Amino acid sequence: MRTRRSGYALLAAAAVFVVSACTAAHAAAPLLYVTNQSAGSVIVIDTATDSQLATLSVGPGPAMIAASPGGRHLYVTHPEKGRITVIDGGALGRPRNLDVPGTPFGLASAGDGRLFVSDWNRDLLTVVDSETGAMLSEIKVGRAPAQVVLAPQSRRAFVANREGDSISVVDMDRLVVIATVGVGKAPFALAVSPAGDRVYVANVQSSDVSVLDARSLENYGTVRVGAMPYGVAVAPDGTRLFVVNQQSGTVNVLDAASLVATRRTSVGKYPESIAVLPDGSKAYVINWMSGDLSVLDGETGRELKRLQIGEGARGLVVAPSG
Amino acid sequence: MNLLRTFAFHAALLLVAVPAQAHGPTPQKVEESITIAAAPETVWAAVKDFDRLVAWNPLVESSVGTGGNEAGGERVVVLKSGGQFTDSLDEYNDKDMFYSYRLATPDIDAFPVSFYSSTLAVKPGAGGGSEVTWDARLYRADTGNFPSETQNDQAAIDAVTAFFQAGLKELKIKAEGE
Repeated sequence: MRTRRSGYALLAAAAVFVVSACTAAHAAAPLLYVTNQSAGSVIVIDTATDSQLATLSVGPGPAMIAASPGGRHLYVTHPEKGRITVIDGGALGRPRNLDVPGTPFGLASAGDGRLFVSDWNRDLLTVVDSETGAMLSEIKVGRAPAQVVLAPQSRRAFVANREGDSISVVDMDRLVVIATVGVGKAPFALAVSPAGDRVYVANVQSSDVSVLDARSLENYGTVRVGAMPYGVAVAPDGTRLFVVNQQSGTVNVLDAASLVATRRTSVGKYPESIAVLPDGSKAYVINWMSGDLSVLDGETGRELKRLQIGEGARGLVVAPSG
Repeated sequence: MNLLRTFAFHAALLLVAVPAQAHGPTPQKVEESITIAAAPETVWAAVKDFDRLVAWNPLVESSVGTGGNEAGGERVVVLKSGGQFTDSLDEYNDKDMFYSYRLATPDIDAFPVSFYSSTLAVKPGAGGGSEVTWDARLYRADTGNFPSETQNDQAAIDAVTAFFQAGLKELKIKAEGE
């Protein structure tokens, strides 16, 4: 009975996927992938209609998610299992598991077969083969590393050391730490400008954002935001910055040139991660406690609607469909 | 001998200094609320001073504050059952009657939570009464991948739930008695 039921579920999922693939062929709208850490799943949303296309079972505790540069593959960390799930954007029904040592958390795909992954318990930035899961390198960084971003223009990886109050800057080719830059208190989330010239660092405990020059590593400035900023994203044209404040339940929109806040939007309870569509038209915010997504106008930051997503949603990423 | 003892003491300190700011484990949720037959202003007056937790939570032996009701203000909460932890205010809104705070210094042996962020809010309820909500996003005491039963997710949820429920129950009794 159990087998038959799951067989039907699989068929249903496949049917959903075929439908979505057809729609995508016409619309080619980007897909939004959201991890649900409590449910052990990844939810796939069509950003043209903001409707759910599929729910993929990926095993316990999926936390952060990243897309390969073209969006073909999605990578999901399971810090409590020592695992990375690989989702093929063209074959959503068949996630693959890579078992890795330690406690993988934040990650970024270099697009050359390598993943840069923080290991938050072992204070490492690890470099993992995205096909086989083989450990290519383990680089010592600061304490409790969280998110990882890449600036391919300068061949640099940036890691937020949450308990080190610093950013480790790693050479993507030589795989060594080039610099450790002090920022605010408890840096967690990172974003790189599309031109690769700036790195934005959200400091959870000092409630501010540090703006670093990606090459000189000088601090452009520090901007005060709301309480406990847990998410940061840049608009695709680089002109606007979105900061999600978990304790305040708000999103700040900042002008990237002046670093002045242009808007503060109230969202759901305990918001955390945020992602912006490639055309800049919409931004999506996970409201962790209220179990929904706030959809914001990507230009103004105004809230357009909320989508039910379920309790435990944690990480999200936007990727081109297929 | 003395040197050895000093060394052992410091080694023990190092072992105790586990990372407080977890992010790998799955965060857990506690949401408690209570309906009180008293005006929101009355209820808010009872809870508004961050360091007066002792006045309305029977599990608390003392709550001594520094910095008042401003962001950055702290309270040291000593439990009747032993142990103490420190909370730090992030956001305080007298007009809308809520405050948000976080666990700044845990005491995982006395209260098995390594970190939480929490909000207490008083809202108008039906018939001139109040609705008080107290919620938290929290991480278990042992943030490693093999926690014991006393330091796992459930232990953390149970501890915070009991703490919130005891406080809200006492608050209701006090506010309705006035």
